[in-house]
Amino acid sequence: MKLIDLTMPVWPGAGYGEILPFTNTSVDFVEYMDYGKNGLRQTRMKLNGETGSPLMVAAQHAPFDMNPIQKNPRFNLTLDEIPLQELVLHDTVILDIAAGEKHEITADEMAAALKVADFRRGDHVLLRSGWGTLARAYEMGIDYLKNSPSVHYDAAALLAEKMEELDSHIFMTDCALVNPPRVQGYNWFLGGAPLSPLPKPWPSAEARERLLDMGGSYAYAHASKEPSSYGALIRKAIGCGKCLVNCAQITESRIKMIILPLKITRGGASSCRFVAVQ
Amino acid sequence: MEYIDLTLPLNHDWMPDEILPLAAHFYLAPKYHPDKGIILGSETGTCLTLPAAFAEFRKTARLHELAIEKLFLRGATSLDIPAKDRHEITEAEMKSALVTCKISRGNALLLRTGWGDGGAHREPGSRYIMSSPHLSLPAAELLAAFMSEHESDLLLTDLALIGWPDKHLLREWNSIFPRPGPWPSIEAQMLLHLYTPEKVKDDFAVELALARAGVMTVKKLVDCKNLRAEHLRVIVSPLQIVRGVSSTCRVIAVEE
Repeated sequence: MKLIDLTMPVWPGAGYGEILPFTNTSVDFVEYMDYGKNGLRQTRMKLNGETGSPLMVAAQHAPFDMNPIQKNPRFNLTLDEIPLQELVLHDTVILDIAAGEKHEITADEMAAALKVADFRRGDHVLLRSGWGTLARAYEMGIDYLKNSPSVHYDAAALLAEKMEELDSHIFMTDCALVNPPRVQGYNWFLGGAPLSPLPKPWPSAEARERLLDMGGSYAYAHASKEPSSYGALIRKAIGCGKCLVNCAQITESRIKMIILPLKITRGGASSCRFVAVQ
Repeated sequence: MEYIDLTLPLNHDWMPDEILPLAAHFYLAPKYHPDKGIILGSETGTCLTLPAAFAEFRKTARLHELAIEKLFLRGATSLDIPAKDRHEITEAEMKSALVTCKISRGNALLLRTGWGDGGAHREPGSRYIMSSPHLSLPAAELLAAFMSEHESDLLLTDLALIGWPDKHLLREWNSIFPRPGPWPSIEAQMLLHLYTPEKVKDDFAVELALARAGVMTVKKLVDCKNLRAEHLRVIVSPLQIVRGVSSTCRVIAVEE
């Protein structure tokens, strides 16, 4: 038995907490007890539902907003309601689509990958692009997300349909973003009118202004008119995970996954540990 | 295989472990609030503490450096010492329990007292923390020696406090009435400002005895009564914090 840790670490200032206006805010630590003063370390951590490698459910903004981010989702469980059988040693198929910087995985590429994958009924899906490595994440900062490969809406819709057909419940990927950066970061860090220098995320003045521009709600999280690839997938899944790393260390086409988010009562999203067992 | 969740839930309405000034208040701020996100302490809820949490052992392994096999699907052996409100587990009780403990070399040890089964963690008030059973220093030293002898470096327990910090912390904190909130209340900040390394050594002698033996500890487990097997596997899943020394975690038992 070999265990492979696929989890993106958590550290203050990590790129994933600096790139988007709302959905993934800055990671910040306060050492309120420290070695010098107390002889003991205690840390207060400010995280976000999408910190590190997150797992997100349909009602991502729960417990305060129990509405799913996509209408009529196939599942609507909160983090603490996900059965352990879904989270511990669950059969998972690797869906290989090699994708470099800024590549948007197309429907044709998705169809080809699905054709050769050993995708069985009830499997979770791990879409491996090859992008997620610790070295890149540590060195590239926000460019790790800006330049990440992603999934075009048509490809996501195709995969979502297949997941429903095979009763598949959880989607994971080593892409840093599921939505194309040009969609997710539309007129924030990309698009016709990107902001430069890039502002801090919520609660910066710029993020608050963007909220005004969006009519007071970021239920759909991005300002682009294009449909959400992530939305297509979460509508058909118990949960979606992204920003995984080290997937190249998996040498088999099928594995078992351990997926453990924090046990937040009525929670909608949380930093999570992803471990492959082969 | 059967999976049993031993994790104290993180409840944004109320947490039972926010009693002492060392705890940080856990909350989820709504999405349009300036604090939007998840705010928690490194020891909120069920938590893993490494020896490196103490200055004396700060050169030892940090969370991101731990081999995954140390925490995931690790063989574990349970050790039963029933203990009720405020009971201090003695050296004799520990000795008697260890005599019958059939731990395999390198396994984790899961100390069950029943404290996480009685519902104190679901009650309002301070009882879950302030009445927790705990280890005496001789019992902890005996346990640390036993674990070293069996090459075991992971102790899991349903105790809310492993030692009893009554040399300074409880005396000073309980002298303030009504009891203030945890950090960052003004009172907690004041107390921690004056809480010197010497006081920490006195109050955390039990934890230090375990840390000295290289033992990582997981405390505040719940529902251990649901475990049937003496030998099992455990998954301890903390946040993967770079250079972190402690973290809230999810703990799952795997029984065959």
